[in-house]
Amino acid sequence: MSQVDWRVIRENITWNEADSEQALLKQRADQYAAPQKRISTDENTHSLTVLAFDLGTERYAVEVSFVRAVRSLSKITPVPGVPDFYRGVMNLRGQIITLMDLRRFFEMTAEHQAREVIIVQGNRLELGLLADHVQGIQTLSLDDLHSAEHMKYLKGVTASRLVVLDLAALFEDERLIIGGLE
Amino acid sequence: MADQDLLSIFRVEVSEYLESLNNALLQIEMLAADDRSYQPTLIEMNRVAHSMKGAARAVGIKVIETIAHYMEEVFNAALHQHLKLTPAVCDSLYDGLDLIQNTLEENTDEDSTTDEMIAEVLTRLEQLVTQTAVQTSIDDEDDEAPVIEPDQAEDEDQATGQGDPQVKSDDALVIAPIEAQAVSLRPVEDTVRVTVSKLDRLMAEATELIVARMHSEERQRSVQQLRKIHNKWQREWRSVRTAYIRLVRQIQDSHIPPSGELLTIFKFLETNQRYLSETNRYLTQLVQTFAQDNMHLSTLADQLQNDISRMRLIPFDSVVSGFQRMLRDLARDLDKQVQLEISGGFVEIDKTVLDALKDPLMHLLRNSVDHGIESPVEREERGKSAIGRIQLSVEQRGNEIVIRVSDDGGGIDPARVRRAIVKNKLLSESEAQALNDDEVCLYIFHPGLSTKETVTAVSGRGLGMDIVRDRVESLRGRITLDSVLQQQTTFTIHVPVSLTRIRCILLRVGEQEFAVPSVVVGRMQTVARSEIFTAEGQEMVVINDQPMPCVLLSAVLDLPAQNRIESLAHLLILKAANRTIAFEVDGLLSEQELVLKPLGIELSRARFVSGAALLGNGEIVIVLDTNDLVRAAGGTSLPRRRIMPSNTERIEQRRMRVLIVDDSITTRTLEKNILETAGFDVQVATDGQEAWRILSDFEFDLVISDVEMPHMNGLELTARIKQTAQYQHLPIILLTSLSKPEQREAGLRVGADAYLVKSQFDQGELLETIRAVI
Repeated sequence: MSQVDWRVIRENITWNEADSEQALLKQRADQYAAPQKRISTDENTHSLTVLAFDLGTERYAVEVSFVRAVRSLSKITPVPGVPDFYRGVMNLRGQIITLMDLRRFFEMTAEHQAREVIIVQGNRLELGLLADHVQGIQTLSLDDLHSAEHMKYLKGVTASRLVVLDLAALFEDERLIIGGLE
Repeated sequence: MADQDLLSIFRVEVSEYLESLNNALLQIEMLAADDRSYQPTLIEMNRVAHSMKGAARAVGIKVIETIAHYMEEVFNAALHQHLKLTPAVCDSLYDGLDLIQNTLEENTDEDSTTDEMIAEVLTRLEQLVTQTAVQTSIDDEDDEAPVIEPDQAEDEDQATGQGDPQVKSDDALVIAPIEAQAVSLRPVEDTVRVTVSKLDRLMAEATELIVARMHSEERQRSVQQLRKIHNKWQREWRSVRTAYIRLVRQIQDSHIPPSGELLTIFKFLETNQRYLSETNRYLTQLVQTFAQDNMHLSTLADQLQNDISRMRLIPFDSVVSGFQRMLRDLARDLDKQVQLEISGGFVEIDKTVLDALKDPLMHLLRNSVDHGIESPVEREERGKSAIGRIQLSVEQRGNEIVIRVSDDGGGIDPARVRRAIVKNKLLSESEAQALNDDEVCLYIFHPGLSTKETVTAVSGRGLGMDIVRDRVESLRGRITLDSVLQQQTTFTIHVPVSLTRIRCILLRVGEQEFAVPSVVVGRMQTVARSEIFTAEGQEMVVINDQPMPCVLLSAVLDLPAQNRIESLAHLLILKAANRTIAFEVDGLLSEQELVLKPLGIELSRARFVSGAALLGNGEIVIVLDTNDLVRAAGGTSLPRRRIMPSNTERIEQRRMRVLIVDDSITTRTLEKNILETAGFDVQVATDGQEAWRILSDFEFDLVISDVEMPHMNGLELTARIKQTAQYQHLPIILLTSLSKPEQREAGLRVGADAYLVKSQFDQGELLETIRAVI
């Protein structure tokens, strides 16, 4: 079994520290070097590298291959006339990011206090997922992941009740694009 | 074979020549036959033709070289009055220009030049030249005008690069003074070609710079904050300093030597004070220089962005050059007489906006000729001049470009539109009757009406008016219509000058700020609440003697209800299509120039939202789509057919895609021209086999195919398409010169949806047929 390359994983995610100049330069360099994104689903290692976060009383995780950055939440500007799971937009270094509230999308009731945003990319979409608190990166063995077949957007749940989301499936949901694709 | 770089340069160069020659020829054609004022233009044309010949020789494209050669001869003959530029001669010349154009568009394969039409054009041009040659030899005696020696001129061209070949020749001195007055057909200023994508990147970077500037201003505020804290610290120190000094005195007076610890603390307090005033001085300085630097940065960033946006501006003229020619051809086909007057061609518009406007304008102009302008006979019966006038005017009003297309034709008949509305089941008979004439005419922008094939004949306007509206609205503009039956039709388009910087009115609803483009704001007014009255359950207000619906913006946007305790109502009067509606808001703030930022695709088609912009403090403000607002508030049934997302990089409209299959380059090009003008995306294939291959790579909405072709003929192709489940529903029109009924039956038997015979072929019929099968 091969070692998990922590360096690569960390470099693939730009954390808040990226605000410091050095991290920014590093990020730029990584952009230009077109980093390989496929690090999480390594068939040989039989493991999954995920970013775990809290949402209310629950713990969720997304595969790091979808994650572009983690930021603290700044001001949300609501957008009129869109589904309520889109809480609004946020200014991310001059780029306008749409913020998605997973709890509302999954029609869970309890409100929560989001403080962080996980910027995820896939299927031509780039969204900011609201999170109360981002815990960090974990490596899960696929054997520990219990499938939840009846749940459409779940890759599985671990014994420690970490819910791993299937972002690839989520990004395919046509509700995400208002007015549909052409 | 010349290398590709050279060829692409050649294409650009020759395109410019073609444009010059087309324009000049039109100019000459408009003058009376005996008017000699076109001499300077002719000289210039002669030179352009010559340069083109040289260029074609350089890349080894024989057809262009030959045509250019003949043209040069014809111009030369006309210059010496051996030949009159009659409409017939001009036609041959136009054909020659078209042929060059086609040769440029297609690959310059030698085998594509074997086509019979090329031969025909060449023969006609050749005849013109030989005729004049005979004439020249007859009256050679009194020929005092210069004859340009091609080879000599060629050397000249190469030597100076842009030298005028005629000046060197001795005889040319005779005409030199005239030439000085000649309208220059070439740009004088040195220019460098830059691709739009490079400019776009530059623009994006400049926008980033503005964001960086905002960050820097934030830092400046932090430093100011720091200085404030520091000042407070210093003040507090000052307030305890007297106590400190008293303490020191007391110790000195008591003559008891202070302990080492106390001395250390005193010493520290002394240095502390020094550091404190020193850092305070530095901080004060830093705050000042920071402010200066930021101001400088801010000026530079603004200037840079302004300059870049200006670089993207190109004169309106650059798109209209083809219009004259298009209208002339169309009018000739329809046996109508049309005069197009263009004013304001110098007005500069953002390239993206201009490109997006080209097709809608072409639609409008074509419609004017096709449906607006009556036949000369009809016009005279109505007491109008036989020549129909179409005016295309452009003007800039502040940050807004106003384009007007008007014709003095038959106008739009509300009664006929009303019938079409009912016939297409858009409204019931009684509903249609309830609308006033203006409201009825608005329906020509309705997709259900304008794309229906029946309507072209019925309403008098057809051809994709909804597409025109879509395109204009997607540019954050609006289109209005003014028509007087039997007299005139005027379409007015308002669009912003630039797509990335846009002047907006900021307003407040509840706690949130929104922006609307200034272009669509009729006026802003604060009125006493008592002026709002109710009519048939609808709140109304009279502004400037005009009654209009008054609607709460929060209600339209589905935001929490505004509280209306104030005795005043702030109204924003918005215009879209032909409707005017007053929106009540909680506050009218200011007008600002905003830099638009694209929204992600997930929101780009959201209702009411046309984009977003960053304010100076880094906060996002949503730019509202006023067309949607007016539509929602006014209850107009014009449906939204938003195609373009707010992102300027994504100005792509979903157009119908057509695959043309024909082994003749001329037919292909002809059809391609017609269809592209009508707003289709066109791809071509030279035979059935190639078409089959292309079909698997791209999606099409329609195939138009010739029957007799090498490798795989049209019937085989049709059969193959119709037998493949994937393409089963793909409409196919067979187009051929064969008029045998059995061929026709064979075509329909293999599953063709329509069959057109080339001998009866005209563009109107082709378009009608397409509309019928799609």
